[in-house]
Amino acid sequence: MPDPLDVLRQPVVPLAPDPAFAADLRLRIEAALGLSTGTTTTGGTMSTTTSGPHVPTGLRALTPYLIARDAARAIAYYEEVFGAALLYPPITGDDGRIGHAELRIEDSVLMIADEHPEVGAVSPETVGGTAVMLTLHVPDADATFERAVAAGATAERPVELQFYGARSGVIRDPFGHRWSLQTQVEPEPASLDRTGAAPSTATDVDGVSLGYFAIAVPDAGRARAFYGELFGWRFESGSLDEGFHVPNIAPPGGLLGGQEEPAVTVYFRVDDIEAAAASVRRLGGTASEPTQYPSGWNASCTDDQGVAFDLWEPAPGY
Amino acid sequence: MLSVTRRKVDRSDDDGAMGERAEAEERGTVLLELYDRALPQVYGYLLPRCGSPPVAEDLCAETFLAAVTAVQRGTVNPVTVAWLVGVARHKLVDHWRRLAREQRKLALVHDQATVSEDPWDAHLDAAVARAVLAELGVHHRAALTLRYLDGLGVAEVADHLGRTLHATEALLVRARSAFRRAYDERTGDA
Repeated sequence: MPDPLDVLRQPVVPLAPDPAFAADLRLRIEAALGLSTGTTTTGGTMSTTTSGPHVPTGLRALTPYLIARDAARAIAYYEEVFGAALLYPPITGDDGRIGHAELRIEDSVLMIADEHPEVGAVSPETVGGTAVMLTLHVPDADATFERAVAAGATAERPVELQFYGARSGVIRDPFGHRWSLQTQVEPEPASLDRTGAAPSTATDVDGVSLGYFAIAVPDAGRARAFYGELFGWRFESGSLDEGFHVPNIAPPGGLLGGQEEPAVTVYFRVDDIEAAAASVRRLGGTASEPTQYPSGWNASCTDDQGVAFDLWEPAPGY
Repeated sequence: MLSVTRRKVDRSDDDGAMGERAEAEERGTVLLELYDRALPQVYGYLLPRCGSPPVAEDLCAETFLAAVTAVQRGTVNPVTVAWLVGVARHKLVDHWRRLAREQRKLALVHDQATVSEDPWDAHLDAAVARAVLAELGVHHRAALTLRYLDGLGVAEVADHLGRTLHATEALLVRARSAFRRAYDERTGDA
């Protein structure tokens, strides 16, 4: 007699979890494996890259939206070549055209649809080219490049080590979209630092600038309440017990509790701590011997009238 | 990233004693490369069985971090999706154990329920059956999930639950009775 409970049988159907969770777990696995990918941010958590409440969960502020002549085939191609995964079944119109689909690639989302010329949505094949290139970071650019070409892409520029420390090559996929496939293999030049503050809108900033500031207070809890309410600052726990990092301001700053004397310390970002400290002394100020912290080299200084400030030569990634 | 890892491996090879670590790193790379494909499978296994996205996420994380440990100790080779789903099954059983400890009294009440010996010849509605399963006590839910959702043999169920074959057979009989009673109540057949 068949067992009525056999109706419960449930083979595994793959389900994509929340992309934010998936990205976070990947970072935890990498950390547990002792592999650093350079994707962690200054605050040491993903939260500094979290979008604001006006962005739906799982998306970033900017998302590419590709139009393809055969979106279903394009989806299959991106699944095969880039390891993309559909977040939900494509939304298809009565005419059978895919009106909207979302694919997840690592921590990013790619939107895609069939051509809808009546609303101006046409593909590179119809336009006869594309003015946009998509940059995709993959674990192994050489392998992805080969896979992409084997699956029908045109090789436009072979994978080579670029000055910015990535192996990178360019393909045009079978649907006319251009992709730069990249794998960071060496540290980036310091001039490409994007880990810190939002870039200044001023174009003539060429002096040594403020890199960080720290507010020392007796009671960190009260200061968090005060500045959180006053300025909308967010606080992340740091390596110090009563230390907090404020990631959502430019330049970033921090809060240190348990200090008897309330004080504000400003940290100026310099390229060469020894040279900068020597200049301070030459100009009549004082500078301590530089000390190394995980965030870089630090020297406590006063100017020639006794105002205290710190020099900071950031460690890579800060 | 793969290239970075490979370079690390090469450097480790300079020192013969580091060979084992190089192999562990290689396996770690395999695990990461598998991650995007394996995660939906592991999550897809866990979510319908525990019924709660936050719990499924926690168990997913436990699964992959346990995989990292296994990879580093070299106790698994090769790392496959099927193996990861097996780890997820162990994590699910651990989750039920924790739940059972929290609900020990409830479980005792369930286990003392009378056992129906009549053969049950019925066609069950799958959706109702899953809803009924979700309401059962932890021990019963665990046994029935492994036996019916996963389709494991009684011996394998016993193995996962850390019980003897005999105790597992008895548990399955009680679980089926509890399930049948709840199903009949829900569908008005009682």
